[in-house]
Parts: sequence; C-alpha cells; structure tokens
Amino acid sequence: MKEKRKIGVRLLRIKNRIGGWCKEPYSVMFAVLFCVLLFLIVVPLWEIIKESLQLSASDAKRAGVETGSFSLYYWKQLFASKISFKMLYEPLMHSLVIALCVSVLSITIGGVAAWLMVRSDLPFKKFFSKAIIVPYMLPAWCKAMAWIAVFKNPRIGGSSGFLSYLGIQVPDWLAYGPVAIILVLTIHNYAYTYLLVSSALQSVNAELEEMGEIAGAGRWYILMKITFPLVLPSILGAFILTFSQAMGTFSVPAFLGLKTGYYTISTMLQSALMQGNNGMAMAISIVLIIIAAFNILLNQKLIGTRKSFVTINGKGGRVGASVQLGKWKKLITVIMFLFICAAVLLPLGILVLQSFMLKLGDFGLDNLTLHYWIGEGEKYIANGLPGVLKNPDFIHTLGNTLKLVFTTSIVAALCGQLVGYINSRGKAKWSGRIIDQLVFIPYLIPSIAFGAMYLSMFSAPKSFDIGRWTVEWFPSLYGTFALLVLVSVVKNLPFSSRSGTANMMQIGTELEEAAQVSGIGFFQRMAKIIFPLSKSGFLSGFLLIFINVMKELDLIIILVTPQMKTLPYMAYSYLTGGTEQYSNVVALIMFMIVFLVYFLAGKVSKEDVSLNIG
Amino acid sequence: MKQIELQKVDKYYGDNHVLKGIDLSIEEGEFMTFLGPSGCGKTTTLRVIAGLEKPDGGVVVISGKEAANAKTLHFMAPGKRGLNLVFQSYALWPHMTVYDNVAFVLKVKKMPKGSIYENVMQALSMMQIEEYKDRYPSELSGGQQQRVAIARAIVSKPKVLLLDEPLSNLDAKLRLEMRSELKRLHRELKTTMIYVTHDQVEALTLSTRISVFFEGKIVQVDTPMELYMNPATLQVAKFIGNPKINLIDAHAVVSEEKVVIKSMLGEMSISKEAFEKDLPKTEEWDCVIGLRPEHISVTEEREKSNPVSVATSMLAGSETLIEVEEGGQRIMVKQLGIQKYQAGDKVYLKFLPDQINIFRKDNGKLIKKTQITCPQ
Repeated sequence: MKEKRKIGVRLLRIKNRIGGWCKEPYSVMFAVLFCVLLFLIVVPLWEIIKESLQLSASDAKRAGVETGSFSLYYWKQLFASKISFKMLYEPLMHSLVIALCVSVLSITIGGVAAWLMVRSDLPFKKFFSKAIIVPYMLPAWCKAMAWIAVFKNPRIGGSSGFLSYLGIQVPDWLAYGPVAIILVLTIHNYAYTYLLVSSALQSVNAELEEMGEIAGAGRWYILMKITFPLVLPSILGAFILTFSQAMGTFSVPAFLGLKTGYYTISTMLQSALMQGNNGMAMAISIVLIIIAAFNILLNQKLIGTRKSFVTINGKGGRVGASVQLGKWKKLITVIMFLFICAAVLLPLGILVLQSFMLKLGDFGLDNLTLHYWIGEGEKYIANGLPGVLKNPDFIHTLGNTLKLVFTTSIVAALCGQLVGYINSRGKAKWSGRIIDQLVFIPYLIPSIAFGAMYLSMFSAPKSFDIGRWTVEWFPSLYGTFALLVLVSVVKNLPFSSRSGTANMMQIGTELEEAAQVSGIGFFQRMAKIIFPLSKSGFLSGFLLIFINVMKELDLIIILVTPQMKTLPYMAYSYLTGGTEQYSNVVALIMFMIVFLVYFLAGKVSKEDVSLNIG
Repeated sequence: MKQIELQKVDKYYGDNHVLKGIDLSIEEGEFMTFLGPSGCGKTTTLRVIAGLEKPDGGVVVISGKEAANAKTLHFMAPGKRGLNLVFQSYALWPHMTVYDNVAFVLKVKKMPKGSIYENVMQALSMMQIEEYKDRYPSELSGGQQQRVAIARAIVSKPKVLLLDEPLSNLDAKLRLEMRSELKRLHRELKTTMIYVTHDQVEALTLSTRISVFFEGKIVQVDTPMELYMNPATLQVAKFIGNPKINLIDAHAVVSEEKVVIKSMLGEMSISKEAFEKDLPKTEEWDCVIGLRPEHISVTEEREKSNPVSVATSMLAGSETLIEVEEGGQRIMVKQLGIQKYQAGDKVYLKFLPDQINIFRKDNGKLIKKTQITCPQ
C-alpha cells in the first residue's frame, strides 16, 4: 500500500515536472534557442575540426586510402614540414607583428584623443567628435584603396600613385607590406578604442579626482594614479579587441600585401581555400580561433569580466572640470586637424577624386570625367562597361545588398532581443550562462574562417538514410540569399545579443511579474509589455548590424556568387579586375548609405549608436 | 476560514537556505504583516505565496486549494491564485497611461468595454486618482504612482492583496498619509492583505496580526499588542519598540511559590504562577529583565530600588528621554512632558513588576509575560 503511494507520488512528480517545464516559456525558449545555436555555431566548429582531420579526395587517392579517412596529414604539413615556414610560421609572425603594432598605435591615438575630447578644453569638440569616428563607417579596404592611390609606385607596374605623379619616389616599404598595412589598420581601428576609452573616461566620477586634488596631488599624479587605473579595464579590453580584429582581418593585407608576396595568416587561409586545399585552410582557421580564444581568456584573467568588452554602459556622475591645455592648445588643435585630414578627409577625397579620373595616375584637370558614374558604355573604356549608375548589374546588386542588409539587421536584432531576454532572465541560471557563452563563439572566429566554415557546412544538403530512402532534412544553401543572411546573422550575434541583453536588463522583471500575477499569459506579456518597451533598444541593435553588414567583405567573400553578390564584393571585384574607378564609385555609394543611416539613427534614437559599433 | 496556509515551506537560492520551514496560516479578511530586518526572507515568503518563486519544500494552500506542493512539483500559475501584488518599485508600465495600466488586465481578459470603464474608474476613485487617468507614470509623484499601483492590483478584485514594502520609497509625510489610506482600503475592501515591511511602526499600526521573521524563520505570530507587550524572544524584544526595550541582567532564585529576581532594579519576588512552564530546572538561574522605557519613571522620592544617577537627559518634543546609569548598566526612561535633570543627579526608578518581561538568559525565551492592564 505504502509502496504504491510512493510510486504514485513519483509518477505525479514526473508528470508535473514535464508539464511545468512545457508551460514555462523561459525553458521552452531556452531549449529552442539552444538547439538552433548548437546547429549554427557548434556544429560548424566541429565540421572545421573534422575537415582538418580528414583527407580530401585527391590527397586520399595519392595516399591510396579512402576519401575522408582520418589523418593528421594537414596538421603535420602545417606544423612540421618543408612548407611550414612559408605556410604557417612566417605568416603567423607577420600577423602577430601587425596586430601588436596596430593595437599599440590605436590605443595610443584613441586614448589620447579620448582624453583630449573628454577632459581637456580642446576647441571645436563638436566637430572633432563627429569627424573622429567617420573612419569606422568606411570599410577598411576602402582605406587600403586610398593608400594605394596615394603611394603606389611604378615598380609594381600599372598607373602611378599621387606621390609618384608629383615626382616623389615612394620606397617599396612604404607603398606595400607591413608598414602600409599597420598604418591603414590603425587609421581604421583607432575610432573603436577612442569610443571605448572615452565612454570609460566619462564614467569616471569627478569626485574621485577631486578627492585626489583635496589630498594635494598634482594633475599628472591624479591622471596616473586615479584616472588611468579606473579606465585601465577598458583600455585592456580595447587592446584585446583590436588585437583580435587585426589578427583576423583579411581585406587590408590582401590589398596591400599580396602583390609583393607578403602573407598574413588570414590571407594564407584564403589562398589555401582558393587552391582547394580545404583541410589545410581549416587547420589554419583553427590556429586563428585558438589565438582568438587565448586572447579572450587573457582578457578575462586580466580584467576579470568579459562584460566590459563591447559596451560600457551607464555614465557616472559629473565629469570633472576640463584640464587647461594652455600654451599647447594651438599646437594640439592643429595636430588634431591634420590627423583628421589624414585619416578622414584624405582617403575620402582620394576616393572621390579617383572616381572622376578617366585615366588613373593622371591628376590633371582635363582628365576629369563623370563617365564612371553615369557614362554610357564606350568601347575603349573598360571593355564598354557603362557608368555605375547606368549599369543594370549595379542596380541589381544594390537591391540585393539592401535586401540582405535589411533582412539581416531585422533578423539579427530580433534574435539579439530574444537572446537578451534569456540572458537577462537567466542571469543566475546555468541555462542563461550557456546561451551567453554560445553566442559569443562567433566573435572568436575570424570572418574569413567563419565564411569558410559555412561554405563547407551548407554547400551540400544534409541528409540521412533510412533503409532505401534518403531523407533530406536541410537543403543545400550554396548560392542562396538565405546563406548570406544566415552567416551574417550568426556572425553578428555577439553584437546583437549584447545590445539585446543591455536592453532587456533595463526592463525590470517586476514589470513582467506585475502582469503575471494578474494571470496574463506569456505572449500577451511579450506583445504588450516587453516589446513596446524594447523598441528603442531594438532600433539601436538594428542600426548596429546594418552598418556592420553593409560594409562586410571578409565574411562573405567566399560565399557570394555572381548572381548573389553585394556592393562590397562588387567594389572588390572591380578593383581586382583593374578598373579601380568603378570600384571607387561603388565604395562611395556604400559609404553614403552607411553615413545616411548613421545620421538618421542619431536623429531617431537618443542613444548614441556609435558606442555600439563593433 | 483559513485563506492561506503555508506548511513547512523551504526555499534555497543555490546553497543559501533562505526560508527554513515556514509554517503559517492566515485567516480570511486579515491584515497580516511580515516584519523583519532586510534579508530575513519576508519578501521571498510573499513571492512564494504569489507563485513567483517555487518553494523547494513544503505546501502552500490558498482558498482551500493546493497552490504549490514541492513534493509532487505541482505549482499553480500566479495568475490562477486569485491574488494580486503591489511591488516595492510599483512596476508601473511606463508606456501606458494610468487608465491603461489599471485597465490592462481587464482588457486582456476580454471584459466588455463598458464594465472595464466602470471597474477602472471605481478603482481609481477608491484611490482618489481619477483626475490623473490620462497621465503617464513618469508624470506622477511617488505617492501618486503608489496609488496607481494599488488601483491596478485591486481592479481585478483579488481575494488576497499582497504588498511588498509599498511605502518604503515615500517620504515620511506621505508614508503617514498612505498608511491611513491602506487602513481605510482594508476596511472597505475586506480582502485579506499580506503586507511586507521592515518598519515596525507600520506593522504595529496597520496589522491585525504580525509575523516576525528572523533568518528565514518565523519567530512569533501575534497581534500588535501581544507582540509589543510580550515579545517571544530577546531577539524580538530588541527589534520591536523605539526607543529600545531596556534589557537588564538579573539572577533568579526559585523557592516553593515564589521566584526572587535580583538585579540593579532591586529585589522583586514574583509568584510562580505568573511564569510560563518552561523554566530552567535548577533552583538558581540567570535571566534578563525586559522593561519598556515608557513603563518606568524617574522620581526624586525614595523608592524601594537602589538610587541611580542620570547620564543624559534628552528632550524629544512631547517627551523626555532620560538615561540613567548604575553599575555599568544603562537604562532608558521615557517620560511625558518636559523634565529637567542634569547629568549626575541622583534619582530613583519607579515601575510596576506586572509590566516587566523576563527572558531566559540561556535561550532567550520569554518566561514571564506582562499583565496587560489597559482596556483592549
């Protein structure tokens, strides 16, 4: 009798546990999200590892074994063979040197600029604060193009650059290779460190510094002993971030390095892919991922929290009185202006100028033309290719790009809010933490490797056999719009979910509980309370992704097909095809769209989107 | 009839045991207050009743129905328990007007439009905020927001109204006003109310009964009067009353019929019948006398007790607080009116032995209650 009742209670427990679990929207959402993320993030990661350990058809034939059999061949080749030095060690050294220099330079420039903007009496602050972040709206490869336009020297062949035109001999080391790459990447990345450090500086309460002053400390002493340690976490965070980005970046070293045979690990990865040496490419990807993961780990050890990484929220109290620059004021202002000119106006100006130049390398007035913008096709210019705005291919690509960017931004922002909901409501639960870790993984994987991963995963349909029948449960996505959306959404998930989490954190659980105790169901709560309250956060998430995806090249460069391409890819292919002016026009149109959106964003949302740009 | 019953309710947050076997029953129409210092589990208990937290052990019964049973993992959804909750932060939906905030629940439940209006206006008028119905929460003062939060909670006519420190964000004057408002609300609605606070004055003035929480346990459930006059333990005695109760070390000697208590107050002999049953088994034991400051007076005439000297004398408006000292122990005396004493004055203390509490020294339990003489 007693035994029976015990079993009854146990059955009831099981029934109620399952029933309660299904009724709990949090757990259902978690389960769905977990499975999706597993499929989109963990499985591709696993595929990379698998592919690096399996022999390809040709290699298998040579070795006389079955295709796909397990082998450490690619790893051995990468790490311990005659070509290892050329394939891995040298490019790796190049990448590390570049990443280190770029980080140090960016932090120095961005940090000093941030301090000047936040804490000094620098004049024209409003102008500087707008101008200083423009470089981030221009894709890095546009700046590489501008660099080439200025410094190109005749030794490589083709038309001459601006300086050569003026009769100045540009040495090779400045025109191409590491120095060029480092400078271009610095000009691209300093804006990010500037944003991180300046928001950290703003959050330093003036009272902390004033306390130091009362204690009799000097300005310099206060800066070194109070202010600097307080913003050190953001500086370290910015350092690690810049380092990882520079490590994985593909387009700039491709533009400025490949012509002279200067390889970095990411360009090596791409060339391995292009040669069809997938196993090797995947092995290189893993090396890149491990370095990135190590970076994050280091950051966690140093700073203790990963949260300080992307955004720093919440401003402290009052920002202290500005420091008088005194006699240095004029000099510093001039330097700032010059810097803005070099970093912002010059590249843009060059792009504009080149887009009007009939023949490259001829900087005379009579060489100007609107042909590349609105000209009809003429036989002797670029095989009759019409001006960009007259080119149906461009219109098609523009439409395609906008479609991709809008779809991706909406989907990514929605997913971000969803992940944010799980993260904020499950802060203390293991489930919330797992999701938080999972969505961060795409951040670790360099764009080009990420693209490669999705290529290998989705180029063939996924299926399994039941007896005689083959059930296809996931179609091949190669060359489809869906693949581009998918890869962009997942790659941007770390950013969108971070913004979603910050957004959801602001919506107190009590607002939801107040409806819950009145018996209002989950969907009603979502529709009537959570969603209306998260509108502005949704918008800023949307814009952040919009700008990111609009200029994305590294990620999709190996996934696009002639029918399914985007503006950055179009510009890239014009450039590699030797018709740089077309490329410039496309890049400028792209920049205008980004700038317009950014401008509108500032009007619509009170939040400063620039803080979130990743 | 019993409205709510908690049986051996346990709750853990990780390794942190926040509720340790809470047993409590609340009658219909009661105004029950959960009182205790912060972090003692009172809000958690409230949330367990509301269904926002699931207990890890024990049973919750609401209106005769099992609302939560940790053993069978049966948890009724918060919305089905026939109760509503007023949050400490008010949790008003910032994107809705006052009217919409209150009407939201009725709208979602698809009540006909006419009766929604009627019900909402009734709730608003009960809280005297009809005129603000088209404003947004951010356009209201703290006190007005509080009223909206209550209106929202009572509009669906819950059987039980839960209030989580509702007055803690208001200033002193508003708090007083809202206190009498809540009392009126309880009288008019006749719903069962459960009220969480750490403010003893709120608890004593509002409640029909008070549950005192310490470290995840209920240590006493009593009417405000009983709680004040006869705190069950030393801990409760120290917590209730401002200025604090005087606690004086004493020594007891038990004889056949009497217990003789020796302390700085002098020697008292009290009939054994006045004591509770669980006296220490020995013949002599240490104890603590509890004596409220208002139950003592200072006089210059010679009394039975030893003379004491005045340490400080502080005027506090309608009363004077006099601290006297004797042999290292200090005693606070609260006397009405303006009294003039200088530090060092020799005085005598006057009090009725009926009005003293005696606690066991070893476990802090109350062993002698005061005789409440005032009319109930």
